Amino acid sequence: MNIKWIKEPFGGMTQWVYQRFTALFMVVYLLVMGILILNHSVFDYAGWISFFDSWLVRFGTLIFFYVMFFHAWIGILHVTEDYIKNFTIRRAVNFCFLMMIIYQLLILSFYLIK
Amino acid sequence: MSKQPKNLNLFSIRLPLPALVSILHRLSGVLLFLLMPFLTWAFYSSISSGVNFNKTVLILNTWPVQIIKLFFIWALIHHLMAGLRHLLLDLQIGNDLIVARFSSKTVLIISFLLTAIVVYLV
Repeated sequence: MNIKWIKEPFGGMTQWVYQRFTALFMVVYLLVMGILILNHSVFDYAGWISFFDSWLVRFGTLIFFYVMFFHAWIGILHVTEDYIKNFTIRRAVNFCFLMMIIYQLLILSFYLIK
Repeated sequence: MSKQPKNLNLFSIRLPLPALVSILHRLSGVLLFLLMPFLTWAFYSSISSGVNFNKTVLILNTWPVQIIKLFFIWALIHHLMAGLRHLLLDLQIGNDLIVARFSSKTVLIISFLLTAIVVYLV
């Protein structure tokens, strides 16, 4: 396992910039989805499925989850670095969280691309 | 190192409002991340079939899950609002103490009110 990649995948300044731009993307996504979902009945299965029939909604949601987990991953690295002093334990916790992210992204990709 | 005196008594210090918003921003972020498996599960379970959709809705309406939903909605709105405030601070907007205190108070109140509205509507 490449230690440097788990601990610090890229420099602090790059992380800072990524964190801001992913945040802006997510704000735009949530606003657009909020407007779309208000004009669409999603409280039954037919409506829910037809909402995700749209190519744009699927693709946007897929990109959103990738961007969101990237944002979360940077945040989690900072949080564990602040509170877990022991390097080995911190690396193990980070690894568990990374596996959690990858597992969820695989599931979401499977259902959104299908 | 351990012999260093500790003069900082955390219980004698009142947490300033911007600091409260900041630590809640971090807390809500961690909470959102830890609750994300629930959302992933709810998503693929509801989209897989009509029977599963009805099952998911039933589970989401039980009271323990409703409490989790309440925390999730609050965390999402607070993280969003506090994040927007941080973006403005990055643009050098609202750096003065009075403005920073006012904006942090606004973030706390708006996220609380929006959570109440969303919970009432959904």
